[in-house]
Amino acid sequence: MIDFHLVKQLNAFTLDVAHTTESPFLILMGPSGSGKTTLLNLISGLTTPDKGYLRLNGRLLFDHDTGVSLPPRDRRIGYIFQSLALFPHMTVLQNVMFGVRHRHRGELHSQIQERVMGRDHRQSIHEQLDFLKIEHLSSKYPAELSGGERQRVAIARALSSEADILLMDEPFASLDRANRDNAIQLLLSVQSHYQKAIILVTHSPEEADAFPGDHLEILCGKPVSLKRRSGFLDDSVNS
Amino acid sequence: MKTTNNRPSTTGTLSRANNHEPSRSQDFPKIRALMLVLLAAVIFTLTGCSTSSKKTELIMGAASSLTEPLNELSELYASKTGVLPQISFASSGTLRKQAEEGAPFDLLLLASSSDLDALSDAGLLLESSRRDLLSNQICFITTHLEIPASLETFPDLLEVSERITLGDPSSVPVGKYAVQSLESLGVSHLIEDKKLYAKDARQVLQYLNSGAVDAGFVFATDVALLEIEGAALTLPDHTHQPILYPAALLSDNPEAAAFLKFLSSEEAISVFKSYGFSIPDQN
Amino acid sequence: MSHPLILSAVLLSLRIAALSTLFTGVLGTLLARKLSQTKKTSFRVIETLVVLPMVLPPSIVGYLLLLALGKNSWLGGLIFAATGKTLLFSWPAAVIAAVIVSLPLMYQSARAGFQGVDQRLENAARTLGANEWHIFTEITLPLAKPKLLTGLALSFARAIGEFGATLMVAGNIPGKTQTIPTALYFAAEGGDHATADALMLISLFIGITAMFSVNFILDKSRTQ
Repeated sequence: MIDFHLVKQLNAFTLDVAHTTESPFLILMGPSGSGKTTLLNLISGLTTPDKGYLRLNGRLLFDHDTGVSLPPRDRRIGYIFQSLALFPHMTVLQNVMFGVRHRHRGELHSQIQERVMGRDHRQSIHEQLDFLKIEHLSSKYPAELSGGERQRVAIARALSSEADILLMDEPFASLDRANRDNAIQLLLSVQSHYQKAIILVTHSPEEADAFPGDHLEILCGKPVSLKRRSGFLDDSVNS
Repeated sequence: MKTTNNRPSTTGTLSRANNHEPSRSQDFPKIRALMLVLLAAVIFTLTGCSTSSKKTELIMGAASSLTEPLNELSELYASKTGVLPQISFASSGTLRKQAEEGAPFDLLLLASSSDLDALSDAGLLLESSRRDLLSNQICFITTHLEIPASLETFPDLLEVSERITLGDPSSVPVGKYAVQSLESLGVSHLIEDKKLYAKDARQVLQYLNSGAVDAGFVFATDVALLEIEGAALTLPDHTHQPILYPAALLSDNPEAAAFLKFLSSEEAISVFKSYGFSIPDQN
Repeated sequence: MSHPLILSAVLLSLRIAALSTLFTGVLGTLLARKLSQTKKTSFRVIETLVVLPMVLPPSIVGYLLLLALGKNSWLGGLIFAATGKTLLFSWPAAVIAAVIVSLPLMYQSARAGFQGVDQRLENAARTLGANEWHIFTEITLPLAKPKLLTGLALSFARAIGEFGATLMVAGNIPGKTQTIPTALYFAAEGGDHATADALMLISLFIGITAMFSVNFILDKSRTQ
């Protein structure tokens, strides 16, 4: 699913990470300041690498040598920042619809309506709101929601923009224990329901342990260990 | 292909995305409406939708010290002839600068000969029309009524005053003339440590009206604006340079020539005199 | 001064201020957006020129405008050749003067407004598929609205009160280019206190109404 080697010169060190995997989960671990967020920025296209390449689901998104560099809006990557970045001046529904409208700019309003409410469209927004249990919040503003609700809106918004992959930066950082466990279960179910790959950044080994897939530890911009866990069996491979 | 600005990094990058983005004009009827309104506003402004562009207009520039008499006279003229002169009031220096840059004056009446000379040098005047229309005088104002004011008692009045205001002679005409008179009459030394310079004729009046000073030098035309109890002594014309208000035509607009003729008439001159102006000595 | 003249000064002032605020609003917003996105030196030069009228005395600004619009300049000459009329001493010249002096205020308000918008929101919009123009109109502009409105209000106030530059390029023709400030000034100069007081009260009224309206709009959008 994802295949990359990205290099970027930062102030304190040079970030140099390569990875290839078909696994649905890629967990990036490491202390703060190790470059995990920068790596997400590079993958999403918000920051341009100095060197390297990035391939996602077979699509070439970036290649320094041949000059390919898709802008963020064309990469079909749903990036959920740690701050969630919900648009404060829009309702939940408007936030979620933002991705739909811009992905399908130029289509007639009626076609978009179809997409949102269409019964035969499994990926309709209606369905996503329902699955994430935020349908009843459609006309509320982000400021009126709880932390957990806001996170679900952010996920719905990323999904509605037809992202092939979700990037999540420290999704559990501001949640208390109970909400955190709910959030972990939510992510696992989102992944299995929508079959999207998820790259997740966390500094907590305990949180990381809840997820299968590749666990890549980063220190000062370089990978220091890689564990591949399929299901919940532990096959440790040191890189 | 448009290169996009990916913040935070700004290295130029090529985009090889499949451009299946249709035109975006459908999305923003509001923006297009705003653009149209703007375009209309620009056109409206630049074509200067004037309310009436009658050919009978004339545009006159006049020194602001002539505002009141000219307002009265232009209304009088309008009631007689149906032509209302459009008069722009400003300082002589400003009017000169505007004329030099092509402001559409047909007629000018200034408070300074040197400014009109500059325009004459620039070839902007109809020389034959130039004349000194009006003149003015310098008055010494004193609140010391115990001494009857006359040229003989002038030095005594100066001595008994505590503070005397006059325009700054380096830049203010009413001050320059006052200083000339004082020197000509040999009494400059009497105001040495009592003088308070004002930045313009208006401020001279303010100082006098507020009681900050007990004496000062003003134009004869400003005497009517004094609100204090005092005596005014007119200083003889020969003690200073002539204070002249020259006029000239700048175009061959017949309306302007007609108005200038009216301003030179006895009827108009008597109106000017009622505001304190005088006529220059005929040379 | 007669009542019709006072009325014409007020109407003229309102018309000029409204038009100039419209232009200033759009121009200032676009400039603030454009100039905040690059660090090129040429853009910094443009920015300095835009803000310059704020630190120069209005009479200097007026004189420079006079030079720029007069028959001797290429712009003035062009207009004269095309229409046979000069821009000077017309109310459009007053609009231009008002725009020049109020643009710095709008520009700086807009700039502050845009800088106050969380970049992460704009970045999120990027990843969701929006292009730069849509990010500007759907994210940046709405979130910068309070500062933009303030900028508009300041521009309007500055335009209504503009005196020095207006006097230079539009003259002081009662009934045609005499605005509230010039009428007030020359009324006071000539000792016509009644007119000066009347105009002062009208100015105060306009200013207070404008400020109240802006605050009202700001409060309304805040409680959304």
